[in-house]
Amino acid sequence: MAVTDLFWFFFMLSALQPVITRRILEYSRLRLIAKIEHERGSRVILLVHRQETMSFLGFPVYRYIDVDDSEEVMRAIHMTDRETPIDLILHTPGGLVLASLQIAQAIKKHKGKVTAFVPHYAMSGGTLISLAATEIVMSEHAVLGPVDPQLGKFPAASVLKVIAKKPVTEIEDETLIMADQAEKAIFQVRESVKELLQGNPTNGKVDELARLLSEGTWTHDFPITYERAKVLGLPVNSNIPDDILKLMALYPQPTRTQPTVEYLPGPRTRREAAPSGNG
Amino acid sequence: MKRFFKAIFSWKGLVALLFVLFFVVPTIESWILVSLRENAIRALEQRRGSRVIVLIHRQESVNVLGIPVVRYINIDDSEDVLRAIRLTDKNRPLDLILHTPGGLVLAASQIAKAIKRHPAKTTVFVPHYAMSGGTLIALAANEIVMDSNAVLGPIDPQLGDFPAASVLKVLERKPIDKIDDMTLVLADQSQKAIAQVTALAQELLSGKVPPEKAREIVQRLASGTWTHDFPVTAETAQNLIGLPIGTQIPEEVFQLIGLYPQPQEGQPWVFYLPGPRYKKGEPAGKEATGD
Repeated sequence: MAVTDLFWFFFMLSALQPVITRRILEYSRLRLIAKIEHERGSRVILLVHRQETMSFLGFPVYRYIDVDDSEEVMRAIHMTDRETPIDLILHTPGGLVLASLQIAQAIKKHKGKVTAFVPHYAMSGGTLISLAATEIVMSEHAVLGPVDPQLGKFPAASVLKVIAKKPVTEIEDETLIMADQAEKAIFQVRESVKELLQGNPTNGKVDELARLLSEGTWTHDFPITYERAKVLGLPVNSNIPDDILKLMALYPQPTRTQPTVEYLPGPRTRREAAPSGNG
Repeated sequence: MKRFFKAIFSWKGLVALLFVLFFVVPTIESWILVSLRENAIRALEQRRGSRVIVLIHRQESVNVLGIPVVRYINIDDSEDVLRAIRLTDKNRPLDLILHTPGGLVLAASQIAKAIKRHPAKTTVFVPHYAMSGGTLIALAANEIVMDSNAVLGPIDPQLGDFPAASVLKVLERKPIDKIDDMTLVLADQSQKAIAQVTALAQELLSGKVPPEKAREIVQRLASGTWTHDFPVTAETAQNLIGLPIGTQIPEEVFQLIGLYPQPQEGQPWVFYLPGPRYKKGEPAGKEATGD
């Protein structure tokens, strides 16, 4: 064997390695999804938005719910029998109201039971989608968020506060234009939320819930924990299957130069069982 | 074998060998670093009988264009930490090592709440700094252990570039019809943000300090008493704010954090010969060589 062969061997190995790892990861994802579908007799749809970094230039790419996502989800729902339950796994910071509402309304129309699983977070548009589900299953520390609309980087509710506080002659025209949009946007979202919650077991709190969630009661990044969601009257429970948590681990952050959180994998029991069980 | 050596010592062979080494050595180096870290974490876990979670944010810069990438507590971090906590038995103590400038309130509060809810003892170690969101997480722990030179920071919320508290000051000082519309929008968010962080921090402190005291501590930390980068030393935290704080960080924690080096680019800015130093004449190494 010539040494130059060795060089080519290494070269090809390092070129192929990422491809192979990705394939393996994809395969184990598919297998786990198939397993969950088989066990629950349902269609599993994942909507996972990880904040990705383009590996080459290192610019962060922010992912959110867009029209492509809603199109894909819609296609999946179309391919599902009307009576078959749907399990929607959400991990998203939110996104376009239009796309989120489309998904939400499609889910609402589905005949079979729809369960929204929130293993970690589903803010804004993600919350809007889960409101349409028959049941929301959150993990113990997972959070939902308010659905109050945002105009650009300004919350519609805060724009309306300006109108309420300041004499109208002193307000800039642009703000007044935004305020008009804000009013409409909030009204629309509130009505949609009411519609989505219709028929769900919310203890007759539909109107209040729609108001709280859409009118800027909190800042837009406010975490609505499982307990609070329960108090608010959302149909939540916390029995999230282990397989779904496992599935999330198979959607790793694409590029990371150095891990920021580190711990030894594998469970830790009480003291006596020494931590020999490493992954 | 002979042919192999002959091939290597040929001119072409040497070039090829160098090339291979060039690719392989960094990989091996990073493997070694990873296994050193794992061993250090395992040793600490074994000694304290706990689960050890490390949350370290070093400011890195991207090689190709040299744009600095600022690292902070984000959703992925909170997801990772929560996964680790989920994998930990309810009766096993939790040790969290924090080295962070802070980050998203949402992510930090998720971590903080999970720590608060852990039934066994929780300890947060701050070997160097844990500002803002890091401090919020620290408030949730049963015990905060800081190095005597380490710092915490205020937890007052920031809106983009502006501290919420400062935005509200504009409202106090200027007649409302003279204030810019966008400032009023920000002010509305500021009000909500401060109220939310205050409520959260009080909830985190409940059960550890009397409610009266908790309100006072949170008031100091969350209402913009100081600028957002104000260093709250262990001493300040203890005296002024009244937080219960330990200062005995195990040597292993420092060793562990040393294994998360600042990614090197160019010349190092801080340089010293490694290893402990003792007073002249005293025999070296009773305690601190620690391995």
